[in-house]
Amino acid sequence: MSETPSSNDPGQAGFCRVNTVARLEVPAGESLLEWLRDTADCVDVRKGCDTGHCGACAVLVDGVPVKSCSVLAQEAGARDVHTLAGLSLLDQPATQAVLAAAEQRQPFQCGYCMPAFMLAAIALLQDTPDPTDAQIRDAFAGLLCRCTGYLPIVDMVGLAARLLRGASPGGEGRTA
Amino acid sequence: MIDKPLNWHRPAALEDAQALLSRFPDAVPMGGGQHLIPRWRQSGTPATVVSLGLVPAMRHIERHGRVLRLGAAVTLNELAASAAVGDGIPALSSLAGKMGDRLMRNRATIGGALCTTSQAGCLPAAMLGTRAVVHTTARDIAAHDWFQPRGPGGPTLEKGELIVGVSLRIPDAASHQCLRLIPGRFALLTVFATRAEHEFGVGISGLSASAFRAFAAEAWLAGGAAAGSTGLDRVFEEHPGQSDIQAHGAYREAQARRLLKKAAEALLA
Repeated sequence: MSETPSSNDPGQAGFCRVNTVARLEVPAGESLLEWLRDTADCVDVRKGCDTGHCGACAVLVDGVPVKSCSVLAQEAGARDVHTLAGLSLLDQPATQAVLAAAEQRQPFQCGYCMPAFMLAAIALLQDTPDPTDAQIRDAFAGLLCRCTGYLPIVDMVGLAARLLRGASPGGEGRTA
Repeated sequence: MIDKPLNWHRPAALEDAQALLSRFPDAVPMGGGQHLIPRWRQSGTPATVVSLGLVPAMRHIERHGRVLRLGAAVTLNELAASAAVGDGIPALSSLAGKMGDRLMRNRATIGGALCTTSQAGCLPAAMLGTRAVVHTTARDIAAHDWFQPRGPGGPTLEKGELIVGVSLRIPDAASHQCLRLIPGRFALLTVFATRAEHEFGVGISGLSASAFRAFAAEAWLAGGAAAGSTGLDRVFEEHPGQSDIQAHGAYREAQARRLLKKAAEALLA
């Protein structure tokens, strides 16, 4: 039995597509976080601890959530990078379900961690359209909410999953 | 922040990676960078980095009979999702899927976990418990030799030597027991125990300065892990619990004893 996990072509390593709109040249010697905020004008990517602990800087690289402070910008070469602002423009069912659930539940307080939690929720629902509470919490492990308002965020994902399945948005929602 | 421009390379073949390391003797090889990049912010950025994530010779997950071969650049989430790993050593699959957090696991690699005992402290115990062999570009090293002589500073590789992968013995039964710190979910203590016919393997990480193969615990298991046996005491005589800011040594020993008993129950049931 043999498996080879997929990997990208390094041929276009110097360029990266951000939010589907452009291929931008990635520089040497910057973290993906710094490059996205300072050069690609993606200020919806938050700078948090800068040590890989809080997860506020999460982005999707080829659809996979990563902490952009712990990724070199060059590592995003030949890959698709999505931030929440870019994803919100796409007509993807999981994205639209999470946006609708967030609008309905209003689960965030100060909002600093919001892009990271939303991206992690979208990535989870794309792989697991009907997640359990344990799966939601596992997807959010490594993301810190400075207001500690985790329960409404978990609840929001439950609602998004129901919306994604076409079920009634009411039902068994929790309140914190 | 990264403090200066990097001379960054992403070779597409193992030979290219070795050539780069010969050309730039001070180059730092990097897997997913989850340990290195935050550390560079404190200690300074190296002049040259060789990123190994796309080297095909380091990306394999293969089963050959009772041996599982894993490439050094396989990420922890790929390890957790692998059918070959899940069929061969379900406890390893479960362990890999619980290390750190999902975002970190999407980048962190087996090779990186072998080179650090910090956040990825579970994997060394699994390597020791399965009597793994670490393959480098120059030699094969038994996991017991790889981890035992060193502390948390990292293994001693020669200049230009790279970890290519690791081979694990597939046991008849395996048990992964872990004590996690909340918040953070990082493992304070990990016990990974295996049984292959009448042979046992036990790896422990988090008890002392480096992960180690617990020969005394293996003998205790082979003797039936009888209640009241003093066999377990020898583990802590040889490897006393280390006290630090996270836990007192006596607490680590008590918890390790509890985890070892749970592993014994699972393996001897």
